[in-house]
Amino acid sequence: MLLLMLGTSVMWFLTAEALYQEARRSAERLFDQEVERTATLLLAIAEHELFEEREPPEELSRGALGIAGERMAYQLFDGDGRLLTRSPLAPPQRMSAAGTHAAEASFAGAQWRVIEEWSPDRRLEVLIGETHERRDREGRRLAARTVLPFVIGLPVVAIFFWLTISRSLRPIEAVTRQLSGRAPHDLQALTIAEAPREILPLVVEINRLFRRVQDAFTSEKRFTSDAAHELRTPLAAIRAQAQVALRAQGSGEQPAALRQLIAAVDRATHLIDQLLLLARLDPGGAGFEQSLVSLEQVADLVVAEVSNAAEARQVRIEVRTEHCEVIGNTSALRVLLRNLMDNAIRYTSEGGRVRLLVHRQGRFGLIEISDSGPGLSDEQRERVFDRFYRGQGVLQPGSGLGMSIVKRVVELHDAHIQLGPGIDGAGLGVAVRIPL
Amino acid sequence: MRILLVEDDPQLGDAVRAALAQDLYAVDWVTNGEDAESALRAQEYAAILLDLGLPGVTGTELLAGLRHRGERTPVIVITARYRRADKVAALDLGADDYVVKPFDLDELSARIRAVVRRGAGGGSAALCFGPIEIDPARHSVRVSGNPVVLARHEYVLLFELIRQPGVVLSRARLEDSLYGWGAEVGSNAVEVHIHHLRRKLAVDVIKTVRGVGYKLE
Repeated sequence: MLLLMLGTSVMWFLTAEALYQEARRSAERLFDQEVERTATLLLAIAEHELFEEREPPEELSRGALGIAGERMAYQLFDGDGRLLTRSPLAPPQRMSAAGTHAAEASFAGAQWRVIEEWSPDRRLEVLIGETHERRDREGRRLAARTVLPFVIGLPVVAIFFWLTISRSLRPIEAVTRQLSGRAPHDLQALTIAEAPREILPLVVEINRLFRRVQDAFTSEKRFTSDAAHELRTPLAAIRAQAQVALRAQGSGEQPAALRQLIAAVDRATHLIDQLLLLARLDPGGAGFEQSLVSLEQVADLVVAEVSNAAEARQVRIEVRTEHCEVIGNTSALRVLLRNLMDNAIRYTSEGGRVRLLVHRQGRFGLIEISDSGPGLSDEQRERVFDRFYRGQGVLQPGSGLGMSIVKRVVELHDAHIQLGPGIDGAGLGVAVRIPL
Repeated sequence: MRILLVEDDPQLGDAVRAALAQDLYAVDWVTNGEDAESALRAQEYAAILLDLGLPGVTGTELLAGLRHRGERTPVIVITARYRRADKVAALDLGADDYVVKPFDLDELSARIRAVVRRGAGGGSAALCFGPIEIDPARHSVRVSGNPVVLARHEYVLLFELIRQPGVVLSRARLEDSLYGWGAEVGSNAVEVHIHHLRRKLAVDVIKTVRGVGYKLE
């Protein structure tokens, strides 16, 4: 702001200077005009006196021509250039050369400005001189009076500027104060009640940034607390099985206990993988790259992955796909399909069926997975997307995070997910609609 | 003693069941709240081990429900929640003890004994009747100071009888304390074991109440 004040002051002074000079010039012109009028007057009087009254030229100096006496010096010539009369101050020789309307002259110890005028019939010529000293003095006074308000205006305007800018900056200072007085992890939104229009966008953006950082913190906190909490049960299982195995030394039970131990470790590992995946898909997580994904290819991959598990439970998988491309993230969609297929195989009865359909429907790509298992009650359907929620009668390994992950992937793709009945009205059907 | 274990995690449940069986408890293991309620309606238990993180009806709901119904069986809550607030909440809701996962199986066993003891009026851990003295932690038995070695089922029967001296325990009741579900029960199992027990104890403290059962007197 100091720069602004400095720049404005400089401009101001330059303008004042220019104004002053212009006022001086105007004053000069004014003075010249005054002299010209006096000259014309003198000529008129002289003409009358000389040619009508027939007075001798010597008489002219006294009387009417005396009007110009003290302030100005004049010389009167006839049509041929002969001096008829002059004022006391005027020198005997011409003050300026013939034919020059305005000129400078120097006599009687001063500088003069000399104006020349002819009478209309060119019988008389007058030279009138005015001292610079007087003109300058008068001119300066006039110019100063013109510029004075302008100059006085400067501090007034400066104060006005200062006040206005200070006031405009005050909200920014207020915001700065608010921010600097905060604890390091305080991410509360700034109050925008009194923010003027100009900084409102700034405050809004700052608040938006706070919210994003807050989300990142929250999701990280949630991840670590989830991880800590949910890993305790698998760890308890591992510890307990190890203790049982230790006690079972010598008896034939140890191999079984150790196998259970390994199963417990596998479950814990799976849980950690799911938690990490969910953390990565969280709002605060890493970036999410999109590309053109061919759904039927992803479907084929996933079906291959789960075929062993399906076979182990003698579940038959029916697949019907058509070419369908959407914009999304390949790994995320693969995880989505994998989780849904895992669930379908896991919860359908042994020897049951699981159907996977991929096709285009209008502006969407549609994935439908249905199973022939027991399905979900209405209450379960509502809670199924909660983190760590697991349905009834769950003895199959599962972390409870699968559907949370599915929901997150659906959100990231601006897709819709719908639960309904499965194969032939029984079981569970999951339909995911992804915009193309 | 017969214990009801309510735990949905397959590996953890299996390990606890196995370890408790090694400690001569008869264990019924269920994986959800509904099955737990059915079991409680059908059976008497010395103690309930309750995991809070159950699918469907939560452990907390189950606990509140059974206390509301007047169920006085001691309950030990086993859970992953380690915060003070959760502990206080569970204890105030009616739990008798609280164990945080992961836990030590020996410690769990001792807590079960403590909680059962408290239910019976407290007192020292050792159980005595006349010349007979039992140390439940070590499963050791002395008669008049001399150690006596008992087989598993003999020990369990003696333990049940000595917990309620003078009270007649029916054959069915004694069978329940020997076996969990799914175990093969021989038709004369109790009589056979009582017979062996009497022989080993060599003191005449076990009385037969015809048509009803047995008692310690």
